Amino acid sequence: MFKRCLLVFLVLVIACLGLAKTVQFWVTPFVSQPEKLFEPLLEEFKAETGIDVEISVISYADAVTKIQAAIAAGEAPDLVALSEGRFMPLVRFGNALEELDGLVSSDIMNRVVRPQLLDQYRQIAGGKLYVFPICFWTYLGAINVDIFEKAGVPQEFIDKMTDPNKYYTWDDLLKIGEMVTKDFDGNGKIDHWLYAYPGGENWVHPFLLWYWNAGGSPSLLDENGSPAFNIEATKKAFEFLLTLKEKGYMPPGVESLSAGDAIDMFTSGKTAWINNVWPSNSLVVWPQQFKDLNFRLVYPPVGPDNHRTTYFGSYLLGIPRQSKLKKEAWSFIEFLLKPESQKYIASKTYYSSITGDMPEEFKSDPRINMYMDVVKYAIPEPMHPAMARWKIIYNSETQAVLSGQKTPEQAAETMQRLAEQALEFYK
Amino acid sequence: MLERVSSIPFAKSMSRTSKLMKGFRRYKLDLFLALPGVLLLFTFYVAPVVAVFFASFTRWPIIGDPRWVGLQNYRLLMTDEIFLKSLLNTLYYAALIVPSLTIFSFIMALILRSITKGREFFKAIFVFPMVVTLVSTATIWKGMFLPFGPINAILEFFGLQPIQFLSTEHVKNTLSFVLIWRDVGYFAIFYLAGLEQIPEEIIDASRVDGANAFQRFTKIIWPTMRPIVLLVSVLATIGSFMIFTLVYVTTRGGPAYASEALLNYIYDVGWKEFRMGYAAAAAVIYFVILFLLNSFQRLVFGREK
Repeated sequence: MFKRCLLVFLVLVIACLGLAKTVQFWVTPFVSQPEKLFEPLLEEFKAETGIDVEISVISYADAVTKIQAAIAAGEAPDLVALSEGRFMPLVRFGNALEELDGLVSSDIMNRVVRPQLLDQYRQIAGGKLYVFPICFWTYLGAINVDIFEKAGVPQEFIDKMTDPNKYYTWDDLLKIGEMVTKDFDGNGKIDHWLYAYPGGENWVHPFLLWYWNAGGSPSLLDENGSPAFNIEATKKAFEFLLTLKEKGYMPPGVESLSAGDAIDMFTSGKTAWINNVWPSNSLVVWPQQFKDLNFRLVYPPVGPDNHRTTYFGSYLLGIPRQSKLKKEAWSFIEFLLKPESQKYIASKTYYSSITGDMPEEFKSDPRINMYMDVVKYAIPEPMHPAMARWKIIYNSETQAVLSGQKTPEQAAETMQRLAEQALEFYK
Repeated sequence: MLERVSSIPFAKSMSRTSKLMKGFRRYKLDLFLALPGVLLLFTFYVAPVVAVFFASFTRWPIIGDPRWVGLQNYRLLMTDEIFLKSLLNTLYYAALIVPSLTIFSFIMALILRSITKGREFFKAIFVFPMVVTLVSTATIWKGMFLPFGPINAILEFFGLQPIQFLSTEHVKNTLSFVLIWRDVGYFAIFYLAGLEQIPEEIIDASRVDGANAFQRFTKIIWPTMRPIVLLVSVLATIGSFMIFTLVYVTTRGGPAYASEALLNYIYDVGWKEFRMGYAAAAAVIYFVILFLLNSFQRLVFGREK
């Protein structure tokens, strides 16, 4: 009797193990609590397909490390979500991700609002598609209206910054810098500055926003596949940042400020203009946390060669090759690309839908329309495995210029040399 | 004849083997009990070190197979200006932190020893910074050192010029200060334990014999404390070489590599840039430098008279 019971129990356990399909989904915190964001979607997906999806949140800093370690140990998750720069090494080395070309239906392809983005993902990965975006975001600028008014910045400048049909230049920024950087209360100290460069955490965008604005190559590579840092755009970007520093339009100690510090300086009224505002910051966080902050979103400036550019980031999903539930993982991606799911994600994150399915109420919000409008100027994060080193290189060289250690020419030369050295490994 | 046979090398070797076997039989239970510990030590300490050494001769992107490249990684490291900068920075940290910790914690211990009331309370206070995780410590100090942080606000309140603590000029000293602040009390407890081993009677007797403070220090206190000085200097050296967390949280090695430590560089190269073979070569150099430094410290402080 005991033996029979044991046998039945074992059969049940084996059957349960065989039936239970749980997709292990590793996500980076692209919103403050991604597990909460996905919760209703997971329930709906399970009701529709019977497939469980289990979410594990991994920090951006450790994401690649953890995924690498999991793959090396043969314990890769079934689905991973990362940004462009973090995904590309996984694609490039060890062939770690599953090809998605055969899985993507023509219906989905037709609905993607920026199909050229998929081409860019293919370009770096030998013509194959290994990742699929579910949403994207761009940066806008913002001005502190109170500081502008106190400094007497003419309305003409504000119009140039906020009107899609007008534009403001680097020269305009210098004029505004002169007006806002003053000792207004007469205590012998400067009350606020124009801008704080946020290079301290080696993020991707701080230098690129200026580099692209100055006409730099979007892919950071020239036609021969060499790093294209040592062009005029690099020097122009450095020279302009140095001018802002030398004229005193950037706060003291700016070379050591991180992106978070620069945002704090803007929200605490110490800087009048910022050029890296996320949708969630300006639409949700700031209005709630900084009720006294009177800010207005503005377009990116136009650089010396008439380039108006900004940064474009997307949230990509990929299926590790080791996954045992590839079909299930892909069906979850398809589920996330449905119009209802896309609207839900957009409504909760304020990121733009990759299929253009935005909630109705968003269509009348001028700030969201501004984010959607600026997409046409946005350049995606360069997708290259060397990006991890390049972003340290260009932020460090910018800091070297801002701290007076190097001239723009010297820093541009060093950048090119170090970027070439870093590229050697990936050839 | 038998005597002649036993004198040949083979017979000597047999004799050694039988001694070994005899010893093994005698201590087999001890060896058996030590085996799990030895295996753990080998698996988690010896084997990774050996693996890193072999990895340093390969080109290995972690995912995928390593490819043998001989000494190429070491050759490239010798011309890698960021590696060399991080190496110099690490030596700077060590040069500032190790003597400061060794001296200040000793002074602190002497002060603690002279306190008769509330010594336990002060001991607890001094150890407190070690209890807090380094990430929290680094985050708090970073906030204090910001251009518009509280320390500069205090300086300005007293009419002094603000200091850019995290600038290229000051950042290494600033980070060293945080590490010294954190560890000085902890090492003082080590010294205090040593000082408390010196009987008061000996000190009193030396006073009666006419020894001055300098003589008491060099003839009584120093010989007793020398092993603890060695311990503190070795631990401080290792600690200064492992400044990783502090650098990672506060500056990420910046501005302009001014605070980049060797471990931070190894971490970035290995885990973020997928150049594990290259990182392993840097780690081997790191290991050799640390080994040489510790050997030197043993030579200076560890000599028995």
